[in-house]
Order: sequence, then C-alpha cells, then structure tokens
Amino acid sequence: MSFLKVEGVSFAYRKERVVDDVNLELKQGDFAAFIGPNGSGKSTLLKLILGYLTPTRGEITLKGQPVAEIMDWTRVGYISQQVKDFNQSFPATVREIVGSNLYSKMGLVKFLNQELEKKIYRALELVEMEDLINRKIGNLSGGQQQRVFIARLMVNDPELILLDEPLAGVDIRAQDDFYRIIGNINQEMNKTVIMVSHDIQVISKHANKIVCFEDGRAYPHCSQEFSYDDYIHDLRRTNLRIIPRHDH
Amino acid sequence: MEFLSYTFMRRALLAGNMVGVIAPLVGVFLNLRRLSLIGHTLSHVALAGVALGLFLGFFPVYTAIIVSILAALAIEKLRRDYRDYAELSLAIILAAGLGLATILISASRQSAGIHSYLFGSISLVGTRDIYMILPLALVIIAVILKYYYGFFYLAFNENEAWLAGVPVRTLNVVFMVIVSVTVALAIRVVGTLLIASLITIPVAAGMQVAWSFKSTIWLSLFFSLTAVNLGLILSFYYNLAPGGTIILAGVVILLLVLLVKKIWLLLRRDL
Repeated sequence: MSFLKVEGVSFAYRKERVVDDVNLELKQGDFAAFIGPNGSGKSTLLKLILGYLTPTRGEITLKGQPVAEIMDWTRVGYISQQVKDFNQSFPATVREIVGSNLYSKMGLVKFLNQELEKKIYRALELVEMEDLINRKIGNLSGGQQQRVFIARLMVNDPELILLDEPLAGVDIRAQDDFYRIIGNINQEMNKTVIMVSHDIQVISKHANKIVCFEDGRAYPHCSQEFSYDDYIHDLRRTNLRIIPRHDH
Repeated sequence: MEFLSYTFMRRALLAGNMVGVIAPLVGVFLNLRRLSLIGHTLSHVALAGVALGLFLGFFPVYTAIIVSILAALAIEKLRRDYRDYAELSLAIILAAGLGLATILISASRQSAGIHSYLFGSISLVGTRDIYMILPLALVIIAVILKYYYGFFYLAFNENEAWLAGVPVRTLNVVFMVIVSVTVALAIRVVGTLLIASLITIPVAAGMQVAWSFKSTIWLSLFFSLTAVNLGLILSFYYNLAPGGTIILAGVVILLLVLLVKKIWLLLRRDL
C-alpha cells in the first residue's frame, strides 16, 4: 500500500484551475521535492494534502485514509511560507513555542506536564537546539528559528512532514544544517518528507523524488529532463524574480 | 493601615484587586494579538450599557456586561469578515457606543450617577458589586488557565493555530466574551475612560523585562496589583479620583521599569 496517494486531483480557485489533474504516489520514507515556478500549484497541492483545502476533483489518501477524514492534524507536520511572519518581540521562549504545538495532547487544563516537557526536550535535541530551550524566540537567528519550527513540528511525531519553501531568507550555512537535520529525520526516523523548493540544484542532492510543476500540472520523475535552464525560462515567462546563482 | 478600618475601603480594595488580576491577565493576550484597541472600544460600548441601565432603572453593571458581550461578538464577526479593515469596524462600534451612551444619559433622569461610571468611584463599590465581580473574575481566571496554551497559540500565530488542534473560532469567541466581561467589571473601579489603560499599561511594563511568556503574565500581574493598591490608598489619603490615581501609578511604574532597563543595558555594555 502506498503511503500517500494523490489521484486525479484538481483544484480551482475563482474558476481558475490552480492544480490540474495531479497524480502522485509516495512510499513511506520518501523525500519528495516539489519544484516549479511561483503559481505553478506546488504550495496549493501541499495545502490539499494537508486537508486545509478540499480538491474540486480527485482524492488524496494517507495510508489509505482520505485526508478529508483525518481529524488529528498533528499526524501531518507543516511549515508554511508564513512561518517567519511572527512578531519578533513576542515574549516567548523556545520551550513555550515548541510546547504550544502539544495543545491537543494536553489534558483538560492546557498546560505542560512532565511527560510533555520531555517530548519538547527530545524534539529540541533532534534539531540540536536543546541548549537554547529557555531563550526568547526573537533573540535567535533566522536559521535557529527555522530549527525551532522543525522541533515544534516534530514534537507531535508526525507521519508526514510538509515544508513550504522553508529556506527562503536563510543563509547558506543554516541551509546546510537544515538539510542535515531534515535528512536525519527522513532517513533515520523513516519519516516521509515533501519539500517545496526553488533551488533544484541543492534539493536534488537530498530528495529521492523530484516532482516538477508547471501550470498546475505535476510531472513526476522529471529529474533528468528538467534542467535548470528550463526552470529559468519558466520563471522569465511567468515574469517572476529569478534567483541569482553565482556558479553559473 | 487606617484605611482598612473603613468598610467601603475594604470593599474597594477587594474589587480593585480582583480587577487588578483579570485586567492584565486578559491584557497580555489582547496586547500581544495587537488588539488593544478592542479594550478601548468595548469600554465605550460598556458606557452605553451603563447608560441603558440608568435609563431603564436596572443595575448598570448588568446591562454593561450584556451590551459589551454583544458588541464583542459583533467585533469578532467583523474582524473575521473584514480582515483588512478591522480597525475601521472598531472605530465605528466605538462611535456608535459613545453616541448611544450620550443620548441615553441625556434622556435619563438619574444622569448624575454617570460620573462615577466615567471615572470610577471607590466609595460607591457596594456589596452587590462584590458579589458580581468576585465570581465572574474567578470564572475568567479559570477559563484562562484552562485554555492557556490555546490563547498562547492564538496570540503567537492565529493563522496556524488550527494545525496544533486549537479550536480557533471557539476560542476567539470565548476570548472576546471574557474581554468584554473584564471591561464591564472594571467600570466600578477605574471608570469607563481608564479601563483600556489598566489592560495595557501593566502589560507594557511586564513585556519590557519579561524573559518568557509566563514571566510576562506574572510581571504584568505584579505591576497591575501594585498600581491598583498604591492608587487606591493614595486616593483615600489625598481624596483623589481612584481611577486616575491607579492609572498614573501604572504609568510611573512603566517609566521606572523603562529607566531601570536602560541603566541595566548601559551597565552590561560597559562590562
């Protein structure tokens, strides 16, 4: 049985088809990269998989269960593009930020008990941030905050991890750390990961499946025929910003 | 401790301390969600509720609570439907509340009593007020304790709270109800015009020196209770308006906190 199955899924927003008849299958432990220009449907498909949006046609199943029926959202961990759009002076510690994601596991009174505190610590160990557990979130660097958000997602031990352009605005060294941590989670913990990215060069080193998007359509196994030049061409065609590359 | 021998003063201190606990408790979440203008709006709507009570001959705190809960639910609806114009809807509700209040006050024969609701009056805090404030304040504290991390998540990132299983819509409605009840209850102590300050100023001071969310709450409570007690005692001895004295005490505390923080940062830089 496939882990995640997307069958003939379409999604229209104001009569415009944003996702068009997408078929996709992932096994447990896959690391899939969604590549493509802005507006090609990658992020929308993530939101469909998450169950945040409902497909106008087709079905998405996680371990055979339609995602529309999943009530426990913590089974799927998601980092959105907007994750960094929080108030940087918000007076909360790393512990509190990670702990808040355990909301559904807290008892009648929504507080952290010792068992949950342990989960927080373990999730922070996973991203090598346990030493900064009592730091204020706003005092951390962008890369460190990104790792806190991975810990916040991992604290619920999700089966599927969805990352929507998590590396926008993160420097190169922090990107390496990020890939190392996600790689560990993917390989050692056998977690299935889907990551939307613009950087095909880097992500193709880590992902075992590349899915390319164009005008709402997805092209699985496109890693060979999909070149960086096509990608740049696409970006130019859609009149969007081009990511500068120094080694070109 | 001469002031404790007066019954009205003991009642005022009891009511003041209860309000002094719930105002910053609600205020922490309200301010961090950048919704502090809601407190200001609701206080003007609550004034309309008070005026309605005086006009109809009901106990004004009852009508103030009912009217401000209705307004709070309307605000929450508008906030959801017109995300980009949330401030506009607040301005409209504030104006409508104040307009209604003025008409009702002028039409009412007992309008003399309105003064104590505008500026707060400790000598008028009656047993009926205490029976009203005490249980409702305890309920508010219990609700905040129960949904602590839910409100925390809403404050940190309302858009993503559902991912953690937080019932966003329900908690938003619950939150608006406790904010409106807090505002209505605080009327007796600090008066309509100054409630919003009691919700914001101690929290503003707490946020300056807090090292975590929990410490923000404790520090805000500490600053709020200090301001309330200092304000009430000073107003007793110098015959000052209690609401104004409490708020000014709060402002002085905020300035002291800012000063101490500045000195601390300067000293640390030199080390």
